[in-house]
Amino acid sequence: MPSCRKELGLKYVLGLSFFVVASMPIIIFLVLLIQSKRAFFEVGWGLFSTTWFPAGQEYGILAMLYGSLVVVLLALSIAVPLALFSALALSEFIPKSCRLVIKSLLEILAGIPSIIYGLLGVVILCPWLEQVFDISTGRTLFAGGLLLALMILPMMISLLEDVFSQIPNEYRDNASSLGLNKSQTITSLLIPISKSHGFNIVLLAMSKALGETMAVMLVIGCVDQFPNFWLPLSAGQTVTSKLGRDLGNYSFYSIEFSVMIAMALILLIPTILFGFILRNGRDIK
Amino acid sequence: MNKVYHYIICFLCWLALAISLVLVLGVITILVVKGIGAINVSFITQPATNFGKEGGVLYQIIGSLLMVSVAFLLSFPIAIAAALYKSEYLKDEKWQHRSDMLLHILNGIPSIVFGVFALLFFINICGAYISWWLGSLILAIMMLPILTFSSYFYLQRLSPEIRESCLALGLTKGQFIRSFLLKRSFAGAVSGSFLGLARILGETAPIMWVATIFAGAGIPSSWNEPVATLATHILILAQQANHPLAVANGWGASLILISLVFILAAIGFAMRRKQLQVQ
Amino acid sequence: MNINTQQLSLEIANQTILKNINLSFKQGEITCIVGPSGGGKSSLLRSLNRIDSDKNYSYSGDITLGTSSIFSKEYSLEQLRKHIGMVFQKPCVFPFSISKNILFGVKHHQRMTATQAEQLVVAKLKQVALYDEVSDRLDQSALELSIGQQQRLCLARTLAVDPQVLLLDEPTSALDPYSTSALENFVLDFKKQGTVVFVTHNIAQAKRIADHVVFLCNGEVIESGSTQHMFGCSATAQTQQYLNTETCDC
Repeated sequence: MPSCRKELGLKYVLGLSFFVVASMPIIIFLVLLIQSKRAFFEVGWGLFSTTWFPAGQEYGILAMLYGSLVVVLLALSIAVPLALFSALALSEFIPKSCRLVIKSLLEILAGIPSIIYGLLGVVILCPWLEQVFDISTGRTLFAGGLLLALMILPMMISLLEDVFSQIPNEYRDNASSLGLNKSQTITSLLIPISKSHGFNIVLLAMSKALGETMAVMLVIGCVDQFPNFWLPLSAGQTVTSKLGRDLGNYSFYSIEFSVMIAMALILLIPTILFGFILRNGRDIK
Repeated sequence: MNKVYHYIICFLCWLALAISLVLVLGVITILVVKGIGAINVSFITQPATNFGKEGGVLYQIIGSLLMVSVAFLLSFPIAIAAALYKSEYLKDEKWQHRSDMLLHILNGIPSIVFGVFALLFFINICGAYISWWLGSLILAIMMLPILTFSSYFYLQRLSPEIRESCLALGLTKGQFIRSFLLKRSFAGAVSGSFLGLARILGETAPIMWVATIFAGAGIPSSWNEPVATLATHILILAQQANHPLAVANGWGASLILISLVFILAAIGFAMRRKQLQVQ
Repeated sequence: MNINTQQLSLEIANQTILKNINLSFKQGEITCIVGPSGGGKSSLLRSLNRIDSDKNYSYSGDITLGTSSIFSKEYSLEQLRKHIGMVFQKPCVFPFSISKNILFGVKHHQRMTATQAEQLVVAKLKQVALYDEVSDRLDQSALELSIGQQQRLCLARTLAVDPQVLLLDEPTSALDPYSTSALENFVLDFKKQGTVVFVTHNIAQAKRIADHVVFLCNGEVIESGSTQHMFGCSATAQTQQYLNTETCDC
């Protein structure tokens, strides 16, 4: 005879596991929030200064926020057009058999751990930049942007190609029958149809780029300065690279540690926002 | 006029594809060629010395595999249980959407934030020492969303007729779960497991403060010892990029890491494709 | 403009789809192509505006529009399709507004002022008897229309490009009777200034609107002739069998 207690017991065990899993992000958020209280209350608006000098009680994180923004915008401005036209080439011009091979290569690249991109950046990209631009060190915001572009490119091409491939051929046939050539079909029909999906994909890429640490940390120069806008060829710092490099150097009870936690909390904001905006996550499905 | 436009667009498409392919093939070639140059039998079977500039990566390989296996063992049962609850007991639409969103958020949290959380919570707040199993713990948390979703979706694809027949035979929910669904939720989670393992094998940020140290870690012989992993080892070597020996070993360790990740991911994708076909 | 095929054959992946087709589609006439499924009717239709030009289909023989071959340099693909319009079986409206749908093709061929564009939209909607139903929502999405309305919208979109030939591939098979008769009335009107090639499964429809009927089976023309002849006793036994019972031994 099945016992009611056993039934209930199973339900509670499963329910508890579910609760643990579902509450994880909330727990993480709360822990970070509590620990960053000091930063918000004691430093307050001082966080938005451009000087980071804990010894002199300066806790401005604007340089890091700016660094993150510059690096991500640079990466997107390179990767988005490149990915868009590559995806169009793959779905509209390349025969199916080739397409599978190329997409597999893209998947391989998307799975490479970011520390390895970091190694590539430090050993190959930075020296190359030193040569090309005749600068003393290649560890710059520019290097960070380029490396990030390389990292988000395969995923973007793959996702965008999926979007274009899934547009039924009837649309193309109908456009052709009206006398449009292939390029006109692409720009007047296929791209407008894919706008909203494409936008989601760009947001996803942006989210990944903002959270990237290992690769950026190694090539960015890790200098807490607010660089001249016209010189992305100067070293800088992003939120993630600052955390990666220096968190271990600060004492747990110090204000600067709390400010760092606040920065980690700031990193959570895009993730949560994008979680609201993007209903379907590719990695999971 | 139209013809010119056509040629411009075609040219842009081909140019972009060419650039992308050059980059993709370039990266793969560099990693394979430079990596193979550095790998030999002793590389795989000897421990590292001199901050990794000499020796091999034996401890790192073992450390990575150990940490990742334990993470899997921790994460798997919880994910399956959560998936079963979500699939069989959670009837409220609102909570289905909310839990979906929470899981997506958990999946999207940057690795560095996991690392910060691990440092803060385990070491600072709970007072633990740098230990290898803390690495497994945080990695297990990172694996939860992908395992849970993988299992959940496979459970969802069970046809309603089978469900109804089992319940019509007089089985209680608990018996139904134990005798039928449990196996199914396992199967669903397995493909996700390989993909999840492929991801966490290469992670550095979440574990670098709580499970690893800069140098000298061997194979842990007790709970409270740090561990060496391939990913953090590559980080150490990358920070000595001026020494050609360190760089060479870096390529070797990278190739080994990529190979392991690739094997796991390939198995995961193959299993997922088979699952989709069977239904 | 007349369209003629001379010994047209089509092979796709080593399978013969069309064999030695010699047909003449005349200006001022509606020619209906009938026959069992898989007989090559759609393939024949799609050859006429070369809509499958970027696939690996191998054509032999020739198709002429007027006096020039459609495979020659005389007609670019885009020009050809301006002259020869096509309406598909399943209506495929673009996810834009009704106005934008109608202007979609013609915008790429000529410049128009806003007023000209508006006038064109109204004129074409009236031509397909759709204007009264949608005049108050021209800026709303075309996806909200019913299937019958969507098909008429697709027709209006094709007409906006001003073709001299219309190819229709079972355009009413998914439509309600009202939309079907609206479309048939339109086609009867259009033939006065153009050529119509109409593929249909509906024998009664062919009898209603066709001037000329072609019976296609297994990629070959079994028989073709005026409607009177084909539906009369002078047609071959095979033709009579198909037109009366919709079965074919071929």
